[in-house]
Parts: sequence; C-alpha cells; structure tokens
Amino acid sequence: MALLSIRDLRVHYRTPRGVTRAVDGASFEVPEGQIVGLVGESGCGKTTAARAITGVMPANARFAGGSIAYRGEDLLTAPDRRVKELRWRDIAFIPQSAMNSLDPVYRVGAQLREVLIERGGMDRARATTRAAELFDMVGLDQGRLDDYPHQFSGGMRQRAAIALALALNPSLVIADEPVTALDVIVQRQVLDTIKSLQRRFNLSVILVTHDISVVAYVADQVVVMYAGHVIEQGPARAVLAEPNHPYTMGLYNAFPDLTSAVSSLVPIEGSPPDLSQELTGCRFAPRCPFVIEPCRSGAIPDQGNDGRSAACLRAAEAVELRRLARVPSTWLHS
Amino acid sequence: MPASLEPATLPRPTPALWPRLVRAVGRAIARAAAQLRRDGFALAGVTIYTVFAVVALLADVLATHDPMEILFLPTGKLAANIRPGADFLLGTTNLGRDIYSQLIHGTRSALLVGLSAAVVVASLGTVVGLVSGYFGGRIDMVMMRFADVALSLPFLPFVIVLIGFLGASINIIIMAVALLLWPNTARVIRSQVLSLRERAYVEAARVTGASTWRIMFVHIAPNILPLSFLYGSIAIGWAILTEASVSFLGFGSANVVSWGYMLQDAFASQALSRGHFNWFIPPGLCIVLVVVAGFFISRGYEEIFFPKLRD
Amino acid sequence: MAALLEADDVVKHFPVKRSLGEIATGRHPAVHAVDGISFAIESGESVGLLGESGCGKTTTGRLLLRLAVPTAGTIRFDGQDIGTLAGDDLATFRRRAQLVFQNPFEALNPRFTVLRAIAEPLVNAGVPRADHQARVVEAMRRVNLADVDQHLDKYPHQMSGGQLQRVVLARALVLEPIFLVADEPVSMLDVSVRAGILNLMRDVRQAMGLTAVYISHDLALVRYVCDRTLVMYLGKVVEDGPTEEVIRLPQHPYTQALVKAVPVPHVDQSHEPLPIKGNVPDAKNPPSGCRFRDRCPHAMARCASEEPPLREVAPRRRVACHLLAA
Repeated sequence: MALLSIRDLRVHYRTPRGVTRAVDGASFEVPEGQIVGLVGESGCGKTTAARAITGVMPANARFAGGSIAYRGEDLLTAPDRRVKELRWRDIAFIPQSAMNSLDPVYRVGAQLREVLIERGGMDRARATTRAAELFDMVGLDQGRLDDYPHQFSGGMRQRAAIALALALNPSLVIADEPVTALDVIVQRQVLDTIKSLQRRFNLSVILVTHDISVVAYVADQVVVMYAGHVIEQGPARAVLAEPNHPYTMGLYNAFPDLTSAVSSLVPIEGSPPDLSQELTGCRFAPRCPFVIEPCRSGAIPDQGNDGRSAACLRAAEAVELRRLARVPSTWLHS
Repeated sequence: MPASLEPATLPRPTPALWPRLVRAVGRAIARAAAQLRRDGFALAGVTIYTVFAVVALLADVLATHDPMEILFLPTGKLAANIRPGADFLLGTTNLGRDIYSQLIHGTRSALLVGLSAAVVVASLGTVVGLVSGYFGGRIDMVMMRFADVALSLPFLPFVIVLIGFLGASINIIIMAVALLLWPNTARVIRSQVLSLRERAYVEAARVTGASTWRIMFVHIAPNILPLSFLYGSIAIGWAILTEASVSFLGFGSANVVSWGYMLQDAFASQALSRGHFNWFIPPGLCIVLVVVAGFFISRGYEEIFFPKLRD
Repeated sequence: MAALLEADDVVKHFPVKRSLGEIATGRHPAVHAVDGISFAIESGESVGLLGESGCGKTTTGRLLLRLAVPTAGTIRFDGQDIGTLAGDDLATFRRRAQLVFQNPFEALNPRFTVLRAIAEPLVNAGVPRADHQARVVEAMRRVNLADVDQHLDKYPHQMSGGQLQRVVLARALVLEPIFLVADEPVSMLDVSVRAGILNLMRDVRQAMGLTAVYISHDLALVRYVCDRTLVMYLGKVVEDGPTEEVIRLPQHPYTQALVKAVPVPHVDQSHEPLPIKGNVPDAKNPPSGCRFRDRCPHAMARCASEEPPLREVAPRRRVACHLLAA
C-alpha cells in the first residue's frame, strides 16, 4: 500500500478577484521508499498540493474536497492535535529557501538540539550527539554546529535545513524546490545528498520542482501537474522517455538539453488558464496542437495501465503524437 | 513563432497631454473612492473634513454675528452669559460675544493652519526625502543631521519661544509646525526612495538615458506621493492641535478667533466652574473631531499602502 | 573584423564596512567582484558570460553598460573609453547600448502603460513625440507582440511573464541599438515560455545584426544563443572559446565540473560524483595564485604561488590554468 494517497484533492484560495481553484481534483500516490517528483510550471498547484500535506496553509486557503491519507489516516479530517503530532515526526518539510526554517539569531546546532529535545524528547547529551550525527549525515562539518546561519553558504544552509527535517526520523519528506536557488554544482551535490539519505533510510520523498532535469536525476515516480490538475503520472523512466500527454511532450521540446544537438527550442504558445474562472474540458486544450472537439467539454478521464496514466483523450495514439510532437512546426499555431 | 501577418495597425495619434492628465486624475479619484467604500473609518474621516471645509468656506454666510463684536440686547444691556437660544445659537461669552459665530470662524482658522502646515510638511518632507534618498552620500548626510536636530527639539517649548521672538501670528505657528514635522515625512520617504532607486525599472530608465530629474520625478516620485499625502493628513491634526494648545496657553494671536482661543477665553473667565458648558464643549469637540478625522484618513491610506493590514 | 568592445584588465572592487580591527590596522577590505579581466568582442558576435552566483558576471555586464565605473582598467566601446564619456557622447552611447533585464515583473514601471514604457527611451533620446507611436509599434512587431492595439494601453500587471519580457525587449530595441546586454533574460520565466523568448532573441539579434552579451548561470541556455563563451570564476575569466568547444572539450578543471554538473532531462545520465569539492571562497579574501586551487582536483604547489594567466592555447581559445602551460 502506498504511504501517502491523495484522492481528488481540492484546495481553493479566496482572493480579491474571487475564488482561485489552485488544486482542482488532484490524485496521486507516494509509494514507500520512493522519490516522487511533482513537476509543473508556476501556478499549476504543485506547491499548494505539497503544502496541503503538511497542513501549513495560508490563511485564505480552504480545503474544498478530497482526502490525503497517510498510512490510511485522512489528514484532512484528523483532529488538529493529531496532525501536529505527525508533522515533523512523520512528515517533514524542506523549504525552498533554507532561511525560512533557520532562525538567524540562534546557532544552527542549538536549533537542531532544540527540535531534538522539545519534539524528540531527548536529553541534552543525547541531543548533542544526535545533532553531530545529523551534520555528518548531510555532509556538514561538525565543527560548524556553533555557527550562525548567516555564516553558512547557500548550499550549506540547504544541508542544514535537510538535517533539521530529518532530525526526528520522518517517513515522508516534502521538499519544495529544494535546489532551485542553488548554483548548478551545489545543486548537484545537494541532490546527491538527498538521494543517498533517501536510499539509506528508505524515505519517501515528494520533490516539488519546475525542473524536469531535477526529476530525471533523482525521481523514481513523476507526477506532472497543469492548471490544478494532475495530467500525467507514472514511473519517471517511462514518463520521461515516452510521455503520453501532449503537455509533457511540449515541455521536453521547450527544455534546453546540453546532450542533444542544438536544433531549436520549441515553446508552447499561450499561457495556462485563469483558475478563478469556471473551466470545462481539458485545461491544456487551448494550447494543445492535437486538440479535438471532445477535449473542449466534459471530463477527461485518466487513461493508462501499468501504474501510468495520462489525462488525455488521445493517450491511445501517444506513439504517433510523440512523433508529431518532435516536429517543431506542430507547435506553431496558425 | 506566430509572426503576425495581419495588416499594419494604423498609428493612432498620440493623445494630447491634457486629456491624459484628466484621465489619470480621474483614475486616482476613482481608486480612492473605491477604497473609501470599503473602509468605513476613512469614509467617516473624509466626511468630517468635507463638512468642516464647507463650513470654513461659507463662514461669512453661516455666522450670525461678527465673532469679535461685543453685543448688546435691545434693552441696551450687555448680552453677556446668555444661554443657547434662537438669537444666540450657542449662547454668548461673558463679554457678550456670540459663541456660535466664533466657532464657525474658528473652523476657518483651524483649517487654514492645518492645511497650510500639511502642504508645507508634505512638500518639504517629500523633496528632502527624494533628494536625500536618491543622491545619498554627503547631501544625504547633511540633510539627515538637520532632521535629527529638528526631531530633538521639544515641540511646545520651541513653538512658544519662536512666538516670543517673532510675535504671535498664525503664520508663525504654521511655520513652527512645519519646521518640526517635516523630518518624519522626509525620513519615511527617504527610506522608500532608497528601495525604489534600486528597482530594475529605475535602472532601466537610466540605461535608456533618462536624466536624473526625470528619474526622480517621473519614475520615483509617483510611487511615494501617497506616503506624502499620508503624512500630510497626519500633519493637519498635529497643526490644529498645536495651534489650539498655543492659543490655550495664551500665546496665540489676539485678533484671530480660533478654537484654542475660545477655550482659553472660556478658561480665563472660569466658564467651567460656572457650568457654561455651551462655551467650551463645542470648540473642544471640534478639535477632537478634526484630529480624529485626520487619523482615520491616514489609516485608510495605510491600508492602501500596506495591503497586508487588510483582513 | 574590428572589435566593438574591448575590456582591458578591468577591475571592480566594492568597499565593505570595516571592522574596528581593520580601521585600526588601516586596511580597506573590499569585495573583489571583478578582478582583472580582459577580452574583446567583435561586432556581430554573441558572447555568453557564464558562471555561478558571485563570480562577477553581473557586475561585468553593468560595467560594459557604464552602470558602474571600473576601479581600474578601461572599457572601450567603438574605440572610445566609456569611463570618460559625458554629455552628448554619453547620450549617444546610451542610445547604442541597451540592457534586457532578468525579471520582467520588476523591469517595468507599474504605473506606465506598454506604450509609455516602450516610448520612454524615445523621450530620453529626444525623438519628436509625433514619431513615438510609429516606432513603438514597429518595436512591438519586432518582438512578435502581435495585436499591437490590444496591448498598447495595458499595464504590466495585466500581462503574462512572457509578454512582459517581450515588452522589455521591445523597449531595449526601440532606439535600434548596436549592442545588447541580457542579464539572465529567461530565468524568471516558465520553461514553456522560455523557449519562445530565446528564439526571439536569437532571431532579433540576427535580423538587426546586434552584438550581444548574455549573462547566465545556465550552460544549456548559453549554448543555445551564444557563439562564444567566457567562463568566470570569482572575478576572473578562466576559460574563453567557441561555445560548442567549451562544452565538448572543457579545458579548465572548473569548466569541466560545471559541464558535468548541468542537469539533463534524461533518466539515463551519469550519477558519478563531481570532481570538485567545497564551496566558492569568500570574494573578500580570494585565495593566492589560482582562485580555484582549493577546490581543484589537480592543484599543485605552483597553483598557490603563481596566478595562471589567461593564455591562448589554440586559436580563439584561452584558458587560465597551469596544467595547460606547455
């Protein structure tokens, strides 16, 4: 059974312009001991979906339906006390900017110890040993435990944030764009650290990112979101090598790739729909080169098997669509 | 790329300056009005100001008597200490002056003091803040030290000493208030300018060769004007309060009727102990109303400025 | 072909606040943002300035546009030292050299409509008002902002990131410059939109015969739009050469690590550890000799004592590394 199972999740934001349906019926699972890459562009709902799992949401957010089952227990209906208990102990969070989880006025080691004592119930001596052990684990020098966050470089802070997240031996780690703010070399090193820790402790990880190359590098499963919907999901290897949804195919064409011959990048024309409007049909239809009339109305059922699915009416023709998608002129709207 | 092959759009004539300016002002008013509808406090503040402004403008029409004239009854007796009634709406003072007419004329002097001080404070503070923040360096250093000095002066004693040297007049009070209040405005605007001048669009203007003058007044100033208004509206209340305090302490101008002057007059003739509420309650209430209105409006502005205060 | 732009041993230091000890000992600490770089850019070339954050690439871009003045060294644009430009000469330079910003959401005045934003350079250059509309429309066509009428009166908050970046580009092009600096022009945009802007910049550059410098941390992007790449590390140029060659056969150990670290969107890729350790040193106290030596897998004694000069190792190919000293 999956460690985490999200069914038909709906999260809405109240805004001055009306209700924005940031996540509008998303379903996916996180298997035990795997890294799930949650990818999509800005505003697709990936961060909202991930934050919904941690239960920490902005004041104007509202759960409008669905369920988030952690080991069979629905977090949305569980009492607040229970959710708080699970948070950090079982479900930990790594933010995009480590400065959000590190307090600038305390030494990094002291912050780590505090979590271990307050939340983990350890005594001082045990906490001190454990803090040193955690620093070691994430590849930080133990001598830096007494440093303040501002004395750390960006990569080191991110490592400290990982140590903080892993302090209480969680089973599920949610990382929101953990390497986006880092330079490529540091990015690669931090990803290597995440991957090795995940293997070592058999962690389940949800890695939220806009970068398909990050997913390609570390993820076992991939969930692609677009305009509040999950439009494609499955094993990373299969989805990235043979995407079944036109949006995923289009992302590939738009992504600069150092290993292929320079041809030309192909943009996806248009922009995602306004989520404060009532939408019907496939949300990608207005930008899709393979759109057919039924796409524009009604529900688009997920199609697929072998743990893969794509919310596309033409998923059965994927082989042919992939061939066409590789031709740049396909994406030029007339 | 969807290179558009549509026929060329006909260039439209560049709109003339005036209609554009009128439209811009219209938009600003519409925005402010929309904000007022949402914010009851600001609406109350604006309403109070509007009423007082109308009263001040129409003071000559609304007043039933000359505020300084000593009045006599038809019987030839001095019209002193008369209770409110049809002839004297708010009664008379112990020297036979009409309190209602004094109140009406006091509104005029209060608003004159308040608005002039606000204009001086807002414009001085804005210009100093802009120049100081934009140029930085030595200019900034010198101007901010002046501000420090002005901020460190004790308010009322300074005003009283100034009046002692230069004589009592409304202009001196306006000047004193302006001298003491501009630094607050200048500092806030300076810090805003410090962040604005680093904005990419300001840099963009610089790359395209915009002059310093243009960057300051076209690209930066419009973003700080609401702040100037905010500090101006706070200054209105302060100035009126200061004028009232100074007059109440007896340092006011003897030939201008103001609310503070009325209070001082009432106090000196022991109106309180004689129970002449009709003499000191109305001016006191007017002072409170005008000052509170200023703060209500500034609160509304704050919400436009720092949207996070909403909810 | 003549060089349009020549940087000769350009240095830019930013002074930082001194500690009491530093005041007592009379030292003046400074961030060595750019520390002696020399290169020439020929007319029509497109050059990538590649490097990680803090390497000095953005400062270099600002120096090239005279948004900052070098601490030492000179930059010549069309034969003229831009550090000494003033008055009309400076105004002319401002017309000919333009900048495309990283964040289109911030690069546009929120109170200006598209028409006003793009017309701003025309106002500053003293172009008669009657010509503005026509030139703005022309610039908008150039960046494929079709439906000119629909966009002219819009405010920035009413447009998408991709459209805004087109407006920013149109503003840079409206004076028909000959030189363009683009600082991370697509890093704030979504992937699906990014490609469109990159294609556009490539097309526009070719159509107008522009000389361009792209500042980026992204090797894949630089490869897509630049013929030539300068790799920067801690205020120095460590490698210079045709982009394809730099990627295929990187010579400097830093470039080698950089090329290896670039993520690719394929599941089957090398997961072997990078041949580089540690972090970028503090730019206030760069290491002696070669700045990369404490992270370099090939460092030798000579690297600490002697700074490797940027020397030509093949035609049009320069590398600053003692390993390559014949």
